[in-house]
Amino acid sequence: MYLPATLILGSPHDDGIGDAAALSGRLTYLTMCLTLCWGVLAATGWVRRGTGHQALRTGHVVLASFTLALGAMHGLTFLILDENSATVPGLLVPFYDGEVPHAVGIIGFELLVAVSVSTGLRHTLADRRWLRLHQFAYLAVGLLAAHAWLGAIASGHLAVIWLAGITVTVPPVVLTVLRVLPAGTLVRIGLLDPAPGTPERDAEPVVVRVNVDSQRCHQYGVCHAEAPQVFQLVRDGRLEYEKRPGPKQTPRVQAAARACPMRAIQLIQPQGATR
Amino acid sequence: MRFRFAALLAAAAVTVLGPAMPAAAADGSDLQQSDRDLLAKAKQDLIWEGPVSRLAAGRGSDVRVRDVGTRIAVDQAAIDVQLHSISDRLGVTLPTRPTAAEQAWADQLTGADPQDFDRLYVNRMRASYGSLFLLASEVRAGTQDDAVRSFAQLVVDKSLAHLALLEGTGLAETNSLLVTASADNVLSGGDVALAAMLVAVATVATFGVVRLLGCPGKK
Repeated sequence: MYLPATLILGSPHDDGIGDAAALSGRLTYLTMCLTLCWGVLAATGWVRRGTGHQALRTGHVVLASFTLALGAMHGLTFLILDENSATVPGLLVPFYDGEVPHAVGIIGFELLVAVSVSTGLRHTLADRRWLRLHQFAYLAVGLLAAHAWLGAIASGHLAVIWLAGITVTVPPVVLTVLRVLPAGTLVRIGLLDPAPGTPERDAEPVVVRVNVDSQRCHQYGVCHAEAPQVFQLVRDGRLEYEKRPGPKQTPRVQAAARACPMRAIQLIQPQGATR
Repeated sequence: MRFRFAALLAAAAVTVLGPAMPAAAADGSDLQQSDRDLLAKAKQDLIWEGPVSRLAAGRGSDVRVRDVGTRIAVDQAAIDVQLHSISDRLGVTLPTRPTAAEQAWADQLTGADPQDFDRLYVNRMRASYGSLFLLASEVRAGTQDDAVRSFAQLVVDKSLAHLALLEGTGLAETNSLLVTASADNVLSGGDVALAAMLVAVATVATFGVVRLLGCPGKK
């Protein structure tokens, strides 16, 4: 038999707490999706108009902080419920209460915390380990999205939020797909300039000279991930790089220059044109 | 200097008097929001439960359901009289019309088949009394107004008695006090098509924005 939500046998207090939990959950979802978008845009350097690289990176950090704060808020509200059996270990340990949707959310949130902490510790962690860990954020976002949709279904809010939920979900999914596409495909769909060194454009690859501004470089190691044969973040935290990489490396070097969070990599073409 | 002294004095006055003022204002009336809620909720329930219970007294196919309907209708008439006397005295305005949902339930019961009617009546009433009982017992425990307390006591007693009566028919379902997924919570085929369209539009829009902002040739 169908009963409307207004007849839930719960105290007014718990109804209010439930609303607060739903609100913080939805806001977490929104900021989480935006964080991913800003992160992809900051890491790829695709956006070159309307906003700056610095603003994108700062935006990513601010949105990530909001996501963590709102997510923590969402979890903690369950402790104030009158009737509920939510406990501190139940909020921290996945599967403690035996609920799969809860466990998915807890694992996702804890992954995000680990990702944020590792970013702060990037000078302490060896090599580029923080970057590897940072990629787990994609998994965490996937888990949290699943948690959010399952939660909306369980609390009977699906019909209220599904359109907004889909609208917010599509951009991060699109950007994630674009992120893993090879550079050649991105050039073909018009997202990137056809690089002078790429085979599609030129039979003879162009040689570029690399210069890294050591004042700007913060040793994020993104360039190491993009072009490991040219840039190497060595163990004591210094960046070593090839000043005159071979022509085969040119596309990778260009990707590294685009992705550098600090905009520290300068590419000089022999003709003198800078990019 | 004199101005600063005056400002300090004003700040001190606000600090001291500020907390005292709400206390003074509250002395005027002991009525809390939950008290008003109970009076309104009790009336709101009576509006649609009264006619429905009288209907059950006549139309129930099970003799126990007819008995229960009669008992509840008689009790509710008595509660209604008390409710109006207390709300007149306290100056609380009561609802006069059923909500759209309540009207729908009443219509559903009016149009139900005899065998469905009993089950529907018992479970609908049980769910309604469940929440009224909870609110009334909270007010009974926490109110500062004597008249409201005695009314809350009456509602607690009658709700409990009516819950027991309804459950005594043997028709109460175990989940009628629990939340079940509402009909609004299921998406239809049209919704899925709309979702697919939305996904397509949002995908193109996202890609378009990124490409527009990223195109270096048109600075």
